[in-house]
Amino acid sequence: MECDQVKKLLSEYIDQIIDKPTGILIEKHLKGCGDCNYEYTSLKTMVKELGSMGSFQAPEDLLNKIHEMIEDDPLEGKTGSFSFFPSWSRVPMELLALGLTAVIIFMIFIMIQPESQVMVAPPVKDTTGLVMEKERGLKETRGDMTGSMTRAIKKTGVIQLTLLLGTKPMPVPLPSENLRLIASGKGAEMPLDTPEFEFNAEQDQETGMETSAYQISDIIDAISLYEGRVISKEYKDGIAEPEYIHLEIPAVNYHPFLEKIKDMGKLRTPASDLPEGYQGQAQIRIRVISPE
Amino acid sequence: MDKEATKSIRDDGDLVKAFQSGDMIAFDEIVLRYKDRIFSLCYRFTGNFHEAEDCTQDVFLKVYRSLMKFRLESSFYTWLYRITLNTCRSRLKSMKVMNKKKIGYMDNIDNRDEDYQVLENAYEGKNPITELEKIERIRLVQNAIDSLPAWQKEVIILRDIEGLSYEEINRITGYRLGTLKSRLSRARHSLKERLGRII
Repeated sequence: MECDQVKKLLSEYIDQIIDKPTGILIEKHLKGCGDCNYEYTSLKTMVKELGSMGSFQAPEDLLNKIHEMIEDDPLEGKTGSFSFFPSWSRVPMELLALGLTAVIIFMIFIMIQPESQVMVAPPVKDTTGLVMEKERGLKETRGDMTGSMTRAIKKTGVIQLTLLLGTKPMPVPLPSENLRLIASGKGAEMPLDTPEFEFNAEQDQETGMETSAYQISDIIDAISLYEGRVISKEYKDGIAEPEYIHLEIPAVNYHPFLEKIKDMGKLRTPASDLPEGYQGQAQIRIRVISPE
Repeated sequence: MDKEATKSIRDDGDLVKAFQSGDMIAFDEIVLRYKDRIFSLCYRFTGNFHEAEDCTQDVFLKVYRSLMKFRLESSFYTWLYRITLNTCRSRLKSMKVMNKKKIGYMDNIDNRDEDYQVLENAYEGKNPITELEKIERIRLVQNAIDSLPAWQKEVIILRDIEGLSYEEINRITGYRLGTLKSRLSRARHSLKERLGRII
């Protein structure tokens, strides 16, 4: 193995997550290369030192301050949860919630078209033309959530989505100026709006193009990432992967979640918007179509 | 870390269920159990006592607001760490926007401001010279971490300082394994360059 290759893999070698054949090659190289061995030793020492830094003690009055914040900023109307109801009413409220959920599920089965469950608000432009199904393919540009691709709904029914899973995107290379800053150890000077500062987990400049398709597990990860939960999954006979995923997402995370989903493929119909000011849970039912 | 996490999942689950049944003391127990770890995490990210304190309070306030809906499908501490990470990210952005300067990040040890006391409290060694050396060393290391780009700082803190496994970091951040390996490798090399002969 060449020194450059070894140095790139030292981090994984230190964490012992490298495959055995490669590990043996690295070990052999380190025995014969003083420069790489020094790099390995100093890196390992640094990692060990970092691990022994210990934790800090929180201020002693932290709990009291948290209580004060809770008292000053009650939960009512902010979470849509039952936390502000007295405990004696919790059981009947839960039954009511179950009943409402049953009604919503019943409504799903009697609806014919995804669009038929929504009411278009008067000020929104007619977007009928955009409802038509487009050709399958990966070259279509994505619509803007705030533009004509969405229609406002007055009621918070279950939002229906049909997602055609696509392939994972190629990594977006950093601007050369940013690469220069990183190489010279001045990464902190990168502009605030640089993609890396935005923590875009999809960008990776070293692992190369990923050509595999998005999967159901990617959708489940996205649900978890945006603090949502899976309510149920529906399967077709003989198919291991679910065809429908029924989930809920906090309204505040609805749009970021939708953007994440749209990164994974193509929505066949425009995604409905939530009523303005809505702060509860957005119920979504995604029909997932894997690429052939 | 995994064994500790497994044990705490059982205990955390009981506390969550107790809180959801109306036991407010359960929330206090959660705070007391995790306050040091969360504060540490916030301090590592922000490098400032007051920011870390505010950040920690925000985290637990969010936990309080969301705990009724938490379903224990993922482990509690994974969920808690995710909230902490998102809160720290937002805090870092607002700190940059406001162009806040860290309150004398222990540049003047004689002042013994709150930042210094945070480190001093972390060590209870009997030898004052050794303790001072340790604190100074930690200060230099923390300064170096603080100079990293945010995305490098994040993986260094979670993996090398907090000791989370790759799988745990994946669950918390959503980063894929390949992305995580690559970022961590570059972060470690960047940090090593900054630390030079210190370590």
